[in-house]
Amino acid sequence: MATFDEPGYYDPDELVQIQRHPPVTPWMETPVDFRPGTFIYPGKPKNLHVLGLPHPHEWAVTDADWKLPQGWQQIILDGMAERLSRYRSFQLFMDICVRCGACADKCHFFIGSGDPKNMPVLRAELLRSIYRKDFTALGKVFGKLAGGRPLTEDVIKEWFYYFYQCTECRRCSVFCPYGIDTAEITMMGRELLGLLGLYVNWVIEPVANCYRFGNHLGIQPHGMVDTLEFMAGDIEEATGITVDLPINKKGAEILFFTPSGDFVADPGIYTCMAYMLLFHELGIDYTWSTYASDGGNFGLFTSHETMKRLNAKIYAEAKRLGVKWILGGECGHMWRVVHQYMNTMNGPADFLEVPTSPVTGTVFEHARSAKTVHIMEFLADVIKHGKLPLDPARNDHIRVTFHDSCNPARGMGILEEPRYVLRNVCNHFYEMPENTIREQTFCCGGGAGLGTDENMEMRLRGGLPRGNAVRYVQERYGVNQLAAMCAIDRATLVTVCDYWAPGVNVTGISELVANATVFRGEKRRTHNLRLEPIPGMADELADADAVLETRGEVGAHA
Amino acid sequence: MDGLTRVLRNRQHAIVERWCQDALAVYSSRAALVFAREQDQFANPIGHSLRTGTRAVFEALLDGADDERIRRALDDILRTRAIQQLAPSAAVEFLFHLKDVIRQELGSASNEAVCSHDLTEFMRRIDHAVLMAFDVYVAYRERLCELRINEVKRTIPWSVGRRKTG
Repeated sequence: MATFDEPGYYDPDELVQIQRHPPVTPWMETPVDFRPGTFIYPGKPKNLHVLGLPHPHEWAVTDADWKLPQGWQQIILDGMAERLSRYRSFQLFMDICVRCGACADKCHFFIGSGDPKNMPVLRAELLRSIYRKDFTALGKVFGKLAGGRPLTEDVIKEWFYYFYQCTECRRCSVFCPYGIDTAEITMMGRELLGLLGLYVNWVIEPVANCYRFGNHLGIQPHGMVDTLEFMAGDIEEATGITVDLPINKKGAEILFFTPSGDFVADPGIYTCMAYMLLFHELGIDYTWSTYASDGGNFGLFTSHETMKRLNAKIYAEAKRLGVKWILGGECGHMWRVVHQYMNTMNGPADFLEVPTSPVTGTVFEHARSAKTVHIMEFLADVIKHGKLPLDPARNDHIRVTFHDSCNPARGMGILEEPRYVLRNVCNHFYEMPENTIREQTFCCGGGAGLGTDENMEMRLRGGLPRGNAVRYVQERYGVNQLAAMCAIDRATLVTVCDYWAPGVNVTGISELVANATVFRGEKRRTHNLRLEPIPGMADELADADAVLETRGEVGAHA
Repeated sequence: MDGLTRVLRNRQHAIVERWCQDALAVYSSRAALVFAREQDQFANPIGHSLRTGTRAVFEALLDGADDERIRRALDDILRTRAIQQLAPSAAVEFLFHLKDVIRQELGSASNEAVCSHDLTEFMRRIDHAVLMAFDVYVAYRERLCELRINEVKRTIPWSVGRRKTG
């Protein structure tokens, strides 16, 4: 008899008989596998208390018992009935799907995971199956045969798992022939979970902070002033320019607001510095607000009511300060809230004027209703009119690509302005492949409240299609920077790139604009806003110093 | 090995095709269908990396390539599998399947004396590739942990860091 490492030990016919395909169970009978790294920790009761939300309780995702409140099934069914009557779109989306499969392979989480319940059609089916069972005549009679299923605790766990695996990016809806918007289905799913006190802490804690302090991070007014002053210090170090810091300035022409993530986290802070520098250079009369201190609104990821409560501060502060119009920074979901909901939620803003650029005189007609303009629209207009002296060669060491953030791009149609700005401030700009940009852009995988570190494995699955496209332009064109106009992108794409396309850094667009701008009164620019030496500029200076040193004229640039 | 190599090269397309299908079977049947069908590398990065990766690994094994080339060939597949809902064993198992695929393709030829010794040697190469796949997989799992730590570090308020160093 041959030993195991000799020919003849194995019978080839026997070996090829092994069946390795995973057993197939119908989706309704496949329970959720809560693997660490793929779910987000539960919302802490203290945060629910702050917001007065129902059923705050301690629970853990991996517990068998989620301690659902008494009568929880009726709570869900009542909540569903209420939403079906309140939102025509929800009713329509529950009824209209013909399961054509057009959306099946369009979700970045499906593409990166292969989990069929991340197919948008099946994600919606998680809710639809309950709808059919309890709200349609066919489902009530035929149950499972009609695609219905009973509402059990396992269904709630499945909802929690998969509705926090959707970034509400709406890519699937681009391909749906009926325009079914899975983002809205996810919103409904999350609202229903909320009725049972089930939230994720990474959303509900920022929401609680925002409700009390005006921003997700809980930065108090003096902390915000400190932060901006620190940034002003770094701006001075990099450029020699002392910028003004108008804060809560009554009677300013423009109220500026931006996501609070850009106050604290690298690399968003450099984008924030860029705003300060550019506004200084353009000489506009604007103000920050320590009350409306966050454009981001995680209420969008919680419930319609919460979104409205958090957003009320924007118009209230505009009114209190007596500004004429509002300018918003580089943020993604903020733009969905501002342009699609703000006016009807918190308006009408009839005390504001139609935004008009004080630099160029351009009237932003499209913002006639919300009275709020995006910084890219504002900067593109400024650049178009030649009001910003630019030297794109200062960014020549950068080979940049552009990530269309889901909400401004797919949701809002801000597609050309950022590209126009980038082409004017960078000589080396390369697009990612066509089916990964513009309306078809792939999400970063961390939007809609998913961007926390405990969810890293899931985020990297969702980030695979984006990372894959970034790596393509990295290998093909030597791209070393990814620009994005969204604070969540700036936080989460760093990790996505570090994993899928290491060597590609992430930047805001305004940061590149500021680095390319020749400011009045600037010192010789050798370092960018990150205080990193600018290749070429720093060397040039060192060479000049060396020449001077040999002539005995040391310190000319010191 | 020349004889076997020639035989395997002649059947490379069939072997790699079959192996790739087998490697896709780690996903649910619905997903495997999609990953097998869609040819666009950006719409279907998993299918693309499996198609190109299995071919590159097979060619490297045929060439008796060095470890570095085999690692590179394995990189994309394992980078993806390291963040998916798979046990480590399931992530690297597909390499063992290559043995069965080869036996299936060779049929009775695999028992022929001329092939069997060489075949045993080729199977050893596959075993070695499995070990390297495990290394690559673990390296990416470690990378995952490292990235998580880095992310937490980046969220420490910037101004606090400034104060400490300033």
